[in-house]
Amino acid sequence: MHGYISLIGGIVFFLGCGLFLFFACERREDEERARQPQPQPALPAARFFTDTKVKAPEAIELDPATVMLVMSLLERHVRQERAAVENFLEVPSVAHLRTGASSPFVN
Amino acid sequence: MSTFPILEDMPLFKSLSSEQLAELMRSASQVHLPSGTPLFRLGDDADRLFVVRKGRVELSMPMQIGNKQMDAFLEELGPGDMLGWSALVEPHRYTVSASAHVDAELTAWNGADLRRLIATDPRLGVPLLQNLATLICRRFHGMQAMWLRELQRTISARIG
Repeated sequence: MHGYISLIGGIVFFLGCGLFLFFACERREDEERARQPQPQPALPAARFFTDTKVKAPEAIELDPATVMLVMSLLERHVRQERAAVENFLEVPSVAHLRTGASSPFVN
Repeated sequence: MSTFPILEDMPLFKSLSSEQLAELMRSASQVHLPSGTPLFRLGDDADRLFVVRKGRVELSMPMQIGNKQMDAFLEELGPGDMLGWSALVEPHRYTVSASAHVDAELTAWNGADLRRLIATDPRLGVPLLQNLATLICRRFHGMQAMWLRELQRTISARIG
């Protein structure tokens, strides 16, 4: 009788030790997995002015001379605006933001 | 007597020592750009940063004029001006197009080399990035002011 109780006690003891070791190993593996860098989801490819060649559907036909005239007026306007903005950056004032341009683009 | 008088006068290299300028120049290359030649196009991979030494470089963006797509003038850069800062800033794509208005000489740095140099030498990298931030801020404020002026004109035209 005493032998049986010792045997069962021994089995329970070794089973307990086995379970303890099993869960300790599992926990260590989980910790190691958590420490490893996780793969980041791939970022989508940069969408950056991918459609620069698209034409406006209702674009009107212009002769080259008109296009060149518009381009030259546009350049003059931008240069005047740049000059005005340089003044604003040197001496920032509300007045510099309100002075009109003399370019035909805005007159 | 300074070893790099031209570079020292450039806003991008402000407060860098002669030794640091020498280190930067070791990784630089010189670019000759004949008049009318494109340097880069909007949306290209930004692999180089440039400083204009001689001549003029024109920045532009595509604009629809009627049925034509044209490069609309944005800005003209001259000696001492920097362009191509997208080489240092993600996603490393040029945000405008650039071409030589007249024959131009530029100093160029490979973006990846420059980023590596900045990362490995903070005494060079920090002032360089501070100067870069100052230049970008100035351009941003300029664009902001231009936009405000256009809005102000629209308001004046509509409600006086």
